[in-house]
Amino acid sequence: MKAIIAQSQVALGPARGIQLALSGMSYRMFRSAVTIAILALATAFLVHMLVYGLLAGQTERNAYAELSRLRGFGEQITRLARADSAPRIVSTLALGQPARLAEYQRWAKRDVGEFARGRAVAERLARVRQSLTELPPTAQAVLIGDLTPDELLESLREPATLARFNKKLADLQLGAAAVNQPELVQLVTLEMGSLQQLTTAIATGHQEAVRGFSLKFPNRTAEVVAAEPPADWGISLSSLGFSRDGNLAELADFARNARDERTISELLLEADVRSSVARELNLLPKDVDLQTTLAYALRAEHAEWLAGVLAQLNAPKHLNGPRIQAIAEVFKHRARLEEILGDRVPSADGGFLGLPERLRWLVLLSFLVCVVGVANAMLMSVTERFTEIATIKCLGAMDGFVMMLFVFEAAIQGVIGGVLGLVLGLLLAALRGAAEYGALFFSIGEIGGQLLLGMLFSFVVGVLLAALAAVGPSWVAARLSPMEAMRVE
Amino acid sequence: MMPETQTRNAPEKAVIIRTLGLEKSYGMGDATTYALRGIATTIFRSEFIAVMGPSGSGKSTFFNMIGALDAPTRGRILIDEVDVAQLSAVELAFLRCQKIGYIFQSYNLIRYMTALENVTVPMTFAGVVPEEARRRGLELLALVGLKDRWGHRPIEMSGGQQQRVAIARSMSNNPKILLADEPTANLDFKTGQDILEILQRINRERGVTIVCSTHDHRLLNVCDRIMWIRDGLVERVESRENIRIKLGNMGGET
Repeated sequence: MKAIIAQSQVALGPARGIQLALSGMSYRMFRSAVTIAILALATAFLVHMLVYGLLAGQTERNAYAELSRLRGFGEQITRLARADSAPRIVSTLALGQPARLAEYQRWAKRDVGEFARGRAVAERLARVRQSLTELPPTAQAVLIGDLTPDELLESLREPATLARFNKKLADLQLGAAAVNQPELVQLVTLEMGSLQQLTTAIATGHQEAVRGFSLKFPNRTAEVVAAEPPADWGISLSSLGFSRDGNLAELADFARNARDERTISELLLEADVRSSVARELNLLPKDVDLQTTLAYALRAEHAEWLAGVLAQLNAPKHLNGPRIQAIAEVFKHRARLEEILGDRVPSADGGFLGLPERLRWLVLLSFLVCVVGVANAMLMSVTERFTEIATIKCLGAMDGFVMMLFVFEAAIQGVIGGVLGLVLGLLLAALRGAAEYGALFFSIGEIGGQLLLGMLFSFVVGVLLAALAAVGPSWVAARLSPMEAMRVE
Repeated sequence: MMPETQTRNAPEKAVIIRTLGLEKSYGMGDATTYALRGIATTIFRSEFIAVMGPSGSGKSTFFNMIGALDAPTRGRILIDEVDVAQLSAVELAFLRCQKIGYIFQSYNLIRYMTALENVTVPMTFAGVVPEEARRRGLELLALVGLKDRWGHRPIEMSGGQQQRVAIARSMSNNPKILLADEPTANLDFKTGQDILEILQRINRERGVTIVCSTHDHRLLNVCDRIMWIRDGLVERVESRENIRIKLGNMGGET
């Protein structure tokens, strides 16, 4: 029988304990509500901190990445527009890329056979270079010395040097397999010269072509090149760092926008346009600038109106309403990114779940307050139930059961508070994010896992807080003497 | 429980509670105050004993002791010949759950439970399955005449009804002893009378030992013996037959 009571309290305990805790809570609705509210607020605070921190960090990183890309485009365009860009383009050219043969051919004004021979020479050159590097170290020291294989081959174009080299080669008695002497001689005496001629021709042709383009479109080389890249200009662009083919379309897009923005801002300098825009926007003519004008043109009918005004001044034909609206949207987007970031560079690592150092103390402190608040509420709940607790102890409840009763109560409140706090915190984070960053905020993307982790963490912390706060009061309840039941208020 | 009724009239009464030199003191050194100064008494099985005494006499302390709710400073309490001081926490819980029923002055029903739930709480602790507990709970409520009110909460019942539910609860695990601490103190004359009748019936029909502390002189009509406690000592123990004669003096005594 004694064993039964100990067992039954364990076995029947949890179900009955939860039931008792629930009915007890429903009877003390107000106090439970206060406890739940405190827990919900603490959890909401943490969820809000974590979710907002994570998403804000992500948003800033996204914004930074996009802005860096756009700034990169800007830099590339500027680089392309520099006076020395043509020689630089040429200097970075490389030969031996079949895909670009057609383009080289056009610049060098040579026929296909010549290019084929050029390629054969280049291949042979590579082979000889290879065989020289594969010589035994002693032979390399004698034959090449401090020179690089290329410098050696260049020096061998002197007949005297070549003769000396041949003699050294014969003395070493390496055999025919090591260095193909006739091929080497043919290469250095005949073919290297023709290859050099071909390379020079290509470089000159390219240089002339770029210069010609620059002359044709003075001051706007880059924009034009980038905005409407002729098929021939692929290499010129890629030699300047636009090697990623996918970027070319985007770069062109960027360049088109830059060009059109510039066109519009130039047109805005015209007195007629300026005054009519000023009238429409209710501004002084001196206050009219690109930003206000484009902000106004965000709406379709305003964009149409602006297109009409610009059309009177020989604006390019493609600057119609929809186009202006599109430019305005891109402009706004970029301005928004600039505004979000300012001059800041977001750190890649946001600390624990994106929680900045200085906020960690705040969170810790708020938890402390929460624990104290909940512990107080629980203690009140215990104190006002002294008689009840003592009575059930008189009726045979063991300390463990009483303890369990209060821990369950705290746990139930913790779970309810946690769920409420989760919802509240997410709502707050969403509202604050929307106010701060707009739609950009909700690009959850790759941090989805971290967000879930953050939410789970907050929830668990909420429940743990409740449990932690319940330990003391539950202990008080469990240790309460059953004699209290005899006391008469 | 029925076999015990047979022992009631046996010439040698079985002892159910025995205390030996029971002392309880608070504080230390010169500041020591004694609540009990060495109570040695015997309570027999199936008797109805009233414990009387003025406030501060140590009556409540004595009550807590024999209810295994408090430990004495010195001396021993034997319940069913078992020394309470030797019991483990589990055994104490078992004792409170199975052997002793408690009835309190302020009823101490659990506010958020119905009458039936209140009655079945000790059965839960004893490991009785819910269906069985419900059946027995209703039986006990019928015993105290509240079968129809099983679904009512304490707040919906009068004091007398609450005390009757409390009596049903104290009986839920068929205890051998009922400890009633001034069960009628909060009740009016008529309902107090009802409570005493129920207690008497339980004592007579079921042979349950009832120890009842009280100021209520009507109790003298239903109890077998009266134990007078004064200044932490048993002043005298009288059987009811004797007290009847002296009833005239009672007013001055307490």
